Amino acid sequence: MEGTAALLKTFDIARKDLLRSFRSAFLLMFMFGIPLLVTGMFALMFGNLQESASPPETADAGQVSMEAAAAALLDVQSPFPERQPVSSGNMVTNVIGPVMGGMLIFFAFFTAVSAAQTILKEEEEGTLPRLFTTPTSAAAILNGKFLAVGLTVLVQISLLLAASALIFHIPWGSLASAALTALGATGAATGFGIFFVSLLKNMRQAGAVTGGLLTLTGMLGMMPVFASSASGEVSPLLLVSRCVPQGWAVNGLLLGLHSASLGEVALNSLALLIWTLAFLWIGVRRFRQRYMKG
Amino acid sequence: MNAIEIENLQKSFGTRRAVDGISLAVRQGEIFSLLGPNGAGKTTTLAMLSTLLRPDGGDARILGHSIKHESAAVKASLGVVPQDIALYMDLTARENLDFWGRMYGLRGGALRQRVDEVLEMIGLTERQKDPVGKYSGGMKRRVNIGAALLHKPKVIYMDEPTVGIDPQSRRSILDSVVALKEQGMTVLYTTHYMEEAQELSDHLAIMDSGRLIASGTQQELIQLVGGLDRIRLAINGDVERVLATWRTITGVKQATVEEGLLMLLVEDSNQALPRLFESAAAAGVRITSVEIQEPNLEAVFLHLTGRALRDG
Repeated sequence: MEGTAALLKTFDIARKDLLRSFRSAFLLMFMFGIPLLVTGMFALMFGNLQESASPPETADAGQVSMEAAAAALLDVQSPFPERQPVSSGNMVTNVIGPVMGGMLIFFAFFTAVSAAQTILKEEEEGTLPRLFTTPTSAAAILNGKFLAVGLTVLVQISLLLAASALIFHIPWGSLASAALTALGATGAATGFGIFFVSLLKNMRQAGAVTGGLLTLTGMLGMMPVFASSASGEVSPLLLVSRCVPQGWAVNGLLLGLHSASLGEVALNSLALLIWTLAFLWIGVRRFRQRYMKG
Repeated sequence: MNAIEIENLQKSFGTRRAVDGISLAVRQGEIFSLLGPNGAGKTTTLAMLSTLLRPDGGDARILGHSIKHESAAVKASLGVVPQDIALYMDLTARENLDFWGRMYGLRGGALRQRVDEVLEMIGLTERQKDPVGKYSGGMKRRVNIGAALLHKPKVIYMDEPTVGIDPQSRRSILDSVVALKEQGMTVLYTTHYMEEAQELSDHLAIMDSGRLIASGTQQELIQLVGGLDRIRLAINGDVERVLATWRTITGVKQATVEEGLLMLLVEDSNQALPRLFESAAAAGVRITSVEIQEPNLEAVFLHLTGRALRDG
C-alpha cells in the first residue's frame, strides 16, 4: 500500500515537471524549434530540399521506416513508405540527416541537463525543502525528478525524429533501430544530466559551467556528422567522439541513416546503456547522499 | 494535553550554536508564538520540528510522535508554511494546490473538493486559473498558507508568514491564523513582529541567540519588567527642578532625563498623569508633549537582552 502511494507520488512529481517544461515557450523553442530551424537552414543551403527528398527507387522489403511510422501516427500519406538506400550523393542521408541527428543529440543533452537542474532550482526556490516536509519519501521525490528528466528527453527525441522524418524526409532506418537508438540516447542524456547536476552545488555554479561543458562534449560528439557528410567514412580521429556519450548517440542515428543492421544498432545502444548506467550509478548515489542522509 | 513537546533541542552549524538546548510545550488548540530577532534560531527550530534538520541533541514530540524516530508520522500530522513563498510560479493556484494535496496523499474527488474549499478559504476562487507568478505578494502568501492546509493538519507551523506584504494582506493572514485556531488547530507561529505575537498568542516564548530566554503568557512575561508604564514628557521650564518634585509624587517609581526628555516609570499612568499636570501647573511649567507606553514585549526583550527587538 505504501509502495503504491510512493509510486503515485513519483508519477505526480514527474507529471508536474513535464507540465512545467512543456508549458514554457522558451523551452519548447529550445527543444524543438532550434534543432529543426538549424537543419532547415542546412537544407536550404545545400540544395533544393524538394529535389533531395525525391522518393528512392529501391527499398528493402519487410522493414517499416521511422518516417512511415511517423506518417501513420499522424495519419498522413508518407512519401517514403520504405527505407532509403545508401547513396553517397544523397543530400538527405549525407548532409541533412547527419546535421539533424547531431542537432537532435546536442539539444537533447541540453534538455536533460536543464531538466535535471530543476532539482537545484527547486532547492533554491524552497519547493524542494517544502516537499521534504510532506509525508513523501525522499526516494519518491528524487525518483519523480529523475523520471521527469527521462520522459522530457524521450518526448523531445521521439518528436524530433518523427518531425524531421516528415519535414525533411530523413530515413532514420527501421522503426526498431530508430526506437533502440532513441531509447539509448534518452538513457545516456538522462544519465548525463543527473550525473552532471549531482556534481554542482547551486544554480550559480551551474550557470558558469553548463554551457561550456555541453558545447564542448556536444561538438566532440558531433564530429562524425561532418566527417561522414564529407567522405562517407569515419576517420580514426573521430574515435575521439566516442569518449563522450553524445558521440555514441549520434553514431546510433547515423547507423540508422545508413541502413546498418539491427545488430549494429543494438550494439551501439548497448554502449549507450553502459554510459547510462555509469552516469546514473554516480549521479543517483550523489543525490541520495545529499538528500537522504538524515 | 500538549500538541508539541520540545526537550533540550540542540543544533549547531560548525562552531555556531543555532539552537542551544531549548525546551517548551505547546498545548493543543492554542496559538504559540516564537518571538525573536532575525538569527535568533526560530527557523532552525521549525526546520528540526518539521524533520528537515536532524537535531544534534534533544528531541521533540509532535502529537506524541518523535521527530527523530517517527518522522513519517510527524510529517503526516503537520502543515508547514515556510518563510519564503515555496510554490510553482508557472502553475496556477489550483494546479499548485492540487499538486501539494497529492503530496499529502489526497486523490480524486476528495482532493478536488478540498482544493475548492481551500481556494474559497484563501479568497482566490475567482483567480484560481491564473499562474501564481502573476499574483500580488499577499495573494502568493495566501496560496502559500493554503497549500499547508489541504490535508487538514492538527498542527501547523507558520514561519514569519507576514514578512514583506501590505497591511491589508497582513490583516487577512492574521485573521486566518485566528480562524485556524477556532477550527481546533494548534498553531506554532514565529515572528519578529512584537505586535503580531501580542495580538495572536495564547502563550509565547522569546528566543535570542539560539536560547529560550523567557516563555509564558503575555501577562506573565510583562510581569518580568514589573508591569510599570513608561511616560515620556517634554516640558517648557527647568527640567531638574521639576524632576525633583515629580520623584516625590505617589506612584512614580523612577524619573530620569534622556535626551532632554523626562522619562518616568509609573505604576499606573491614568493615576499619575493628573498629578504630574497639577504639579507642573503649580510650578509654572508647561508640559508640551506626553507619550505613554504600556509595558509590552519589546520592553521585556529590552529588559532581558539589553537590546531592542528590531536591532536583531
